[in-house]
Amino acid sequence: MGIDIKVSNGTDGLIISVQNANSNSANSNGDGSGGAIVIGPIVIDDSVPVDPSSAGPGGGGPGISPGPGPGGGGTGISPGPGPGGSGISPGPGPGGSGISPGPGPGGSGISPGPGPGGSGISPGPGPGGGGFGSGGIVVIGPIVIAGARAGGVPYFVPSTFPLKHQEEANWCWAAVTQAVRAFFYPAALLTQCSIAGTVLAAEYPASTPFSCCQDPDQCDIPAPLQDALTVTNNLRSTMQGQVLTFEQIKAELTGTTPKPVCVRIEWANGGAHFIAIYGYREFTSGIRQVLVADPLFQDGTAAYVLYEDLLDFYDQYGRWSDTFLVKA
Amino acid sequence: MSLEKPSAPSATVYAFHAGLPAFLAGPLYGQAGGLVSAASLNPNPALPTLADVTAPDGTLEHDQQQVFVLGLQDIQAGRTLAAATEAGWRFFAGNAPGKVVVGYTSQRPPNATWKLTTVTVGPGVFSSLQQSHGLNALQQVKDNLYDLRLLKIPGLNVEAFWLFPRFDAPALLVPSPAGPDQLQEALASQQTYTEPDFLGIVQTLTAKRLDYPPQYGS
Repeated sequence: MGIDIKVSNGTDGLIISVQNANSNSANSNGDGSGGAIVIGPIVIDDSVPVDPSSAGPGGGGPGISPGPGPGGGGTGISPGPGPGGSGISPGPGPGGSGISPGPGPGGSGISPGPGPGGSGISPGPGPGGGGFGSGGIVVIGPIVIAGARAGGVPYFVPSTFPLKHQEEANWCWAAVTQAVRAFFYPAALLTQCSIAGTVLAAEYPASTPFSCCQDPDQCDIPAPLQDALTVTNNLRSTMQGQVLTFEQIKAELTGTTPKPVCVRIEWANGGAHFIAIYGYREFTSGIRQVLVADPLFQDGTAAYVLYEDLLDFYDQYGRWSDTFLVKA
Repeated sequence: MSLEKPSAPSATVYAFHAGLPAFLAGPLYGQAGGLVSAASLNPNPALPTLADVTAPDGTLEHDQQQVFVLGLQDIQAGRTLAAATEAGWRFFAGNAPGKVVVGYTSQRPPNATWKLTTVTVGPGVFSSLQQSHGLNALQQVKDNLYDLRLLKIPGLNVEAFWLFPRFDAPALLVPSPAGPDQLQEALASQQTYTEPDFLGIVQTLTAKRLDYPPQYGS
């Protein structure tokens, strides 16, 4: 059994495609199903050792190519030998999960190989491991099995949250929904006009049929975000009148399946707007920032906002009124 | 004649200068201390460093604009721009694509101290800075003396430069979208409007917007 891995530049970031070299064989995912794997989020964590060589025994810590050492934990690409660890190509040792875990018991991932335990695709023999390489700076991980693609070849995409400008004056809800959908399913990019057409047809069933892609101006009207996220099946829950704590935001962004947080901003003197939180930073001084994608911005533009000011002073005039939790 | 940029209060300038390092790429974050943890679902836009937005001698120069906000209910009530409230200031630092940021300062409770609350990065920031520089080419600016202000109407997703006359001349509004295009098609980007003309247009847009339930977003 073999796997061909192709890395290419996608519109919104790096795309890693994995092709089962033997397409006639059982799907390489161990359970017979293909899968999509999202790599992310990108984590910056200064709480781990700064010296890349310092995380030896007992270390762990996330990193790219963590080296050998009996320390546990560790998430990243190519963790070295030692227990624990997850990532791409974990080295030998127990535990470990990810793409091509090394030989040994435990482990799950792609290509399960010889050895006890193990599930997924080719977990090989030997222990997985964490190790050095934390560097205190950049980590790619955690690796998340985000879903299966029925009967298809597994493919892998990094979980980059795409920032797209809203195409019409009132389409913040369509733009945010488009970004959420594209985050979980980058290969199936929906247009804002297609989202708008579906949402508005349901919102105004008695109206003239909407042709939002042919005549966007006809469809340039406000709408609820939860309706748009429901159309794409990305709405987990609507929290009307509720905000998230900073810890809850962190949990959404760094959980097993990282997710952006969608927010309704209510302007002080009428009107409302939808944005998404897709990052955070916290400092030893207690300063906490959230990274905001606002569909009013030009593509690729974002705002770092103090968390406490997002609650009641976004863009110098708005407050966080409602929260929308999303799902893949 | 020319376009003047009123001086910001020293306390808000200090808030911007002292607070900015905490919003930029490290390893030094100023008053924020050390970075404990961070995550992002997209590595872009990359954060500039302090060196990116300072002069070669390390001086942090800024280009400031006072920010005013006008609400939909005020517009609906037929009020003029005199009803716009002072929201704070915005400061541009840096002057090259990818190496420019804009920070927003405001007086925040509990003690109304000035505070840097938001820093925006990315290609849209450089575009905004260029648009403000382009105002100097307007004939009206050559003929009269104006103070430069930024007017926001958040409920309509409208931003405009507000050229406030120091002497006897009509105020001018120049729409300046935060994004790549002017979303409200009734307003042309970079075109000058008198205050009555501008208010007439936004009153129509406001009436249309307020027809929809308040929980709807735009």
